[in-house]
Amino acid sequence: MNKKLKKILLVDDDHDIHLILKISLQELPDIQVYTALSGEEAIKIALDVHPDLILLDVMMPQMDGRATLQVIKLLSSLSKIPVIFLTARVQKEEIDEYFKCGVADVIPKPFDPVILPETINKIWENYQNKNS
Amino acid sequence: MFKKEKKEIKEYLQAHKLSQKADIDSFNDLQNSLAAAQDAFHVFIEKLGEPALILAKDDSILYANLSFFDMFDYHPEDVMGVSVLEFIQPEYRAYFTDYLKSQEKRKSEFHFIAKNNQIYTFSVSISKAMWEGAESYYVLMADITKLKRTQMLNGILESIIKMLSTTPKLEIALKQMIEILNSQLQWEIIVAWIWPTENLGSPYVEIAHVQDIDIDDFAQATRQEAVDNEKVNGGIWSTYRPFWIEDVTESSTFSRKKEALKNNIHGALAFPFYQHSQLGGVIELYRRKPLQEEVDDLMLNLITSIGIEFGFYIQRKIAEEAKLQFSNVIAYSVNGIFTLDANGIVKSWNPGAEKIYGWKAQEIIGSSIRKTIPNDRLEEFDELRKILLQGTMVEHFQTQRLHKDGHLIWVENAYGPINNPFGKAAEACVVVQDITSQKAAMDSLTRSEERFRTFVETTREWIWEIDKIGNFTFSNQAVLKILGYQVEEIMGKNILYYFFIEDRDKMEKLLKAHTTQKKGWVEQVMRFRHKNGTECWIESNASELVSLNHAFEGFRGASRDVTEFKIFEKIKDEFISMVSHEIRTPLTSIHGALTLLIQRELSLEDKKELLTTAKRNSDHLTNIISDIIDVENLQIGRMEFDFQKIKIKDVVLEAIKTSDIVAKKFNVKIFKDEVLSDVEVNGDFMRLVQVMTNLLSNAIKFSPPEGIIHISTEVEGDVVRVSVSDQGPGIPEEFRPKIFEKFVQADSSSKRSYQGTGLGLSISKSIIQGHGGTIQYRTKAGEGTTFFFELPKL
Repeated sequence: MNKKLKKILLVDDDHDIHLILKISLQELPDIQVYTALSGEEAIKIALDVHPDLILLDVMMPQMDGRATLQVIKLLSSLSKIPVIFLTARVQKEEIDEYFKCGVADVIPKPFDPVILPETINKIWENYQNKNS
Repeated sequence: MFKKEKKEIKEYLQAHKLSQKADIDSFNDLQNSLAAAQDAFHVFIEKLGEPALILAKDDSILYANLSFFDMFDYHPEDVMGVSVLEFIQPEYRAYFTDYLKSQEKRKSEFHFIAKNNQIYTFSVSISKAMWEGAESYYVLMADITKLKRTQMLNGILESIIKMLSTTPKLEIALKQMIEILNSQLQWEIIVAWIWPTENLGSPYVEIAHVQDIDIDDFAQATRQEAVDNEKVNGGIWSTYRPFWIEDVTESSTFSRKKEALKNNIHGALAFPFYQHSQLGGVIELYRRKPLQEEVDDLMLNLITSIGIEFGFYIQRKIAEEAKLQFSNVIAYSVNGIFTLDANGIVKSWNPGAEKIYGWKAQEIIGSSIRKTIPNDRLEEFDELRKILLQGTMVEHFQTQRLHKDGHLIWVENAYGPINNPFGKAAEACVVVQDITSQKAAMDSLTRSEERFRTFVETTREWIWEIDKIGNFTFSNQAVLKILGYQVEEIMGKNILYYFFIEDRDKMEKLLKAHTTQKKGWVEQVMRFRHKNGTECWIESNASELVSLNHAFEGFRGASRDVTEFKIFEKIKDEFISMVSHEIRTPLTSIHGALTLLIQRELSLEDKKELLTTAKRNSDHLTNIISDIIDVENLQIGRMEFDFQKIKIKDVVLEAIKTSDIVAKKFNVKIFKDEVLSDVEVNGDFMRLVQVMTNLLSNAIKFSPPEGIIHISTEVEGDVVRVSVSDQGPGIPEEFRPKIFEKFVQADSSSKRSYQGTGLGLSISKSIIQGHGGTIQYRTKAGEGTTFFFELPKL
């Protein structure tokens, strides 16, 4: 039986993206959305709330998305959490590199906030199936 | 002698006053005397050195003296009582009979036949006289055989000499010579072997023969022998002596024996001729009859003389030919050739000279050459004449001369003295070459070479040549600027040495491919290793080097350093990628907000927030785009300023207000001096705020969290200085020289603390310069950076 998606952590240095993502994800029932403005903050919150899924921006000041993912993968309590990259940098070689880092999937920016919940759901289900 | 005897008797009778009536004693005395005289006469006849006969009236021989027997080798019984006609060649017999009967006391010539059938020519005189009481003929004979032969041979020689002097063509001369030799001596074929001078090479062979004989095989064999000249006439070449073969078909040494037999050739005689006292060739004579007669001294004299005359003929022909050739050379020569006497008067003038100088031969011969010499060259000419009169040759003398129409021409002359018969230089031969166009071409070539050399030496392009194995054979100075090496350092070294080790295999293969195809390349960009170890991108065009005989020798090329361009390309790529990200980020928010607003049922609060977000992001987008437009304008120098009298303090305060939100976001604090300068400048307020905002946003993005930015203003002399200091990491060393260039950011990785367009400092510098000011920075690794600009105060 698949686990239900309940807690999502949004990581982006842009407040505006937080807002749009939050409103977009209202579509998903009983979902708890957490937000972080930087990689460091994301790790702190993740260790605290253990989200089911992390939406992670790649280009961030100081600790960027890849570095954050690396830390998540190193921490045993977080390493199983699927991480989706949100990024405008979606050249083929860049995407290959993201997957090499262990990302569950990539959502390119700009994204459609209306179909985003469905996209996330699908990725979540795929991930569940793959890891069950 | 007989006459003389008779005369003496007559005189004797007169002296003694004797007559038929004289007394008997006297008459007896006389008879005795006569008998004595007759005896004496007989003894005389008997012992005479020439043959003598006494004939009876019927022609039979009554008496023959000793000489007759000796000469004709007859015995008395062969002769006595036999008709004299038996000993005379048949065709002369009738004439002899007539001659005998005519009783004319004169001489005539007859051919007598000896016992051995040899024919002798005799001059014969006949007198009628009593012999033993009967009327008889006294025949006295003088042998003129040799004389006649001499005359005949002289005649032949004379005809040949006459013929040779009037017959210019060798072929015809030989034909006529064999006709002459045939008429008297029955020779039918003549072969002349004419050696080129110094006995080098094959002889020239000319063959002639009398009509109606076929000698094709023999002629062909003879000509072939001339080609294989080793076999030719060995005998004469070694002995210089004539020799003869009675029958060549029976000779063991005659090489053309087979062909001679085929063409029925038997008798042969060969003799040398001379050119300039040296053996010049051989003449061979052949006939169909074997050589039976003796080759006597007379014949040897004849052929020797023919040899001499023919030698002269050949010599003359060669000289005439040479002279003809020489005059043709002079006539057809593109060089001007003329002669001058000791006074500089023109004696001869060829068409080449006419063409060069414009003067026709008839116009200039007899006048002074000085009219072709420009005034400033006359002294030079007089010097030259002195040298020539001393008998010295002058070559490659380049000078200027006057054309008939007055224009100057450049000539290269060779002057050779011509001696008079007494060995003194009396004339000069001048060979002239018009080098005007050559000179012009040389000048132009020199100029073009000079131009090329200057170009090669001064161009910033690296011009080089490598041989087929890649070793440098030429390089200009530009290599120092491009690769850091002196020309001497790279000469002879292999080009592969100047690539990075990891690139060498690849480059070697590439060069090999070009070498195999013997073909250069176009716009090939290669990475070289600078002497200082840094990479150096070089774009080259090369063409194959080919020698005059079309052999591939290597490559010649021109290269330029495109490292900066490469870096620029990289920066541009990064810029485009960065700008697209910068544009995408606000677009993501705008697009997301608007999509939600349109497609979702939202609370009023959400709607408001989303609209605010969209507005803010579109403002940001506008800023980015105006930055890019600014850069475009700066690039083409089209930025316009709205100059006003403004206070520098207001600029600072406005910029702080604009940057405060960002500073807060980055958790950075902006401090300013308590008292800001009240100085006024003539400036574009918005543009100066843009500069300040730029400096502040740079300071913010490189400040650590909780970092402090300090703004100060100072007045110093005529300028006001505004400084912005941060506590950032400082500007990396290698980045410092390019800090104000376009599209430059110290750290282009995604870790950047603050996204910008990389145009801020470049725009700021242009704006400050547009205000007549300067912008600079101080930086220290780990401690921070201060940017400051100075503007002229009002």
